[in-house]
Amino acid sequence: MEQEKFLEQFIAQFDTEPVGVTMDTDFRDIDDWDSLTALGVISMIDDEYGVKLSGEELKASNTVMDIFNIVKTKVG
Amino acid sequence: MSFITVENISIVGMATAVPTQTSINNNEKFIATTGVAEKRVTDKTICTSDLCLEAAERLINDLNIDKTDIEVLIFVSQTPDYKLPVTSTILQHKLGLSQACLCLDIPLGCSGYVYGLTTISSLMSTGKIKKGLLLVGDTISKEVDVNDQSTEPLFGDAGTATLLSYDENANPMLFGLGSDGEGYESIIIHNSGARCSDNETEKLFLNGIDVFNFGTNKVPKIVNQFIDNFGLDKDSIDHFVFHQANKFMNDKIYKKLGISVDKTSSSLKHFGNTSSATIPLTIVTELGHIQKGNSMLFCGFGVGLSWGTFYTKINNDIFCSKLIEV
Repeated sequence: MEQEKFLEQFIAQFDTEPVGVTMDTDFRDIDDWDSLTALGVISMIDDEYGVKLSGEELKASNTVMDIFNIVKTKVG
Repeated sequence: MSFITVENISIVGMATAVPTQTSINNNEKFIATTGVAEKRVTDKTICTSDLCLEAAERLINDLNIDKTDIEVLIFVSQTPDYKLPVTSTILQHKLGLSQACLCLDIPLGCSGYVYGLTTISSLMSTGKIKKGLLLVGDTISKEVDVNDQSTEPLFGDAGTATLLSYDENANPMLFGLGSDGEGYESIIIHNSGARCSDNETEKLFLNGIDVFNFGTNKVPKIVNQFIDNFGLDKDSIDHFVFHQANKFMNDKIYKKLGISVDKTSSSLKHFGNTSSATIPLTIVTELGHIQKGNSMLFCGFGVGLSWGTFYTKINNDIFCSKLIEV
């Protein structure tokens, strides 16, 4: 699983592509982040990696890297 | 999953009543994602049972049904008139149905229409009951927090009536039902029943991500399992009418199932998610009627968590009354 590709897929979930987002960005600080973007991210992870990310897991995550690590562990 | 086959019962007709008041959504991103541009909402004076009553009266009148033939009435709703008594007996009285009428409430939501169909058809089949009335609806707008942007713009109100008849020429009605109570807190109104930690009733809580995961992962699996169990041919099914959760979730379910969007119907744009009412409301507003010889598959899924799938090939036209505004 590549971090760079995951970051691209994550950013693609925003209507307007956010500038300066890295793996260490706190995704809740991104202006357009909302519950609908969250659904897009969950859906993308399901489509691209076949992994189900729960509401609790997302709640416990702060950075894009945190999500990446959960997905990576689940992909195995 | 519980698989049930019910013989000798046909769906004769359906009617739907909605409040006249329209609530318009303004958030473009929300509309694009959920598909809900507007929905109908009740004021304080109108309950679910009032909408169902109007739908039932219209349907009985349009089909010229003898009320004394109706010996079972089931009311499916999460928004009953009272904690007790059941709302079905009140409706039996208001409709002027006979005292021979069996009345039952089923407090299910998104899966409720399919559970209601299973229960009423099973009772009618075993009891050879001539006619049955299934009244299904919700006024969830009364239960949402007006400031909660994940629920308030999504949920609309509606009440429906479906009339069923004992009919020895009817094709079998096939059902597949299941539950996963581990997810009971995904959609819940805390402090709304006997398990209260204080006296303050809360508003509807929806864990959007967990519900989305449930819908998009579980629903395609259970529908495929249902189709396999009964040996159905997915491609030959004429109408797929699914619970109208939201466009994003429904589209993903259709895609995973490989169902052509042309064979699905959506009432989300003008009515939103009307909980237990979505399936009959969608048939009445989008299909108008269903022709003899057509096959149809319904699937309800959500709060509980609970799900139900139904299939039949109809041997009579299903009549739909014109949409009623109350």
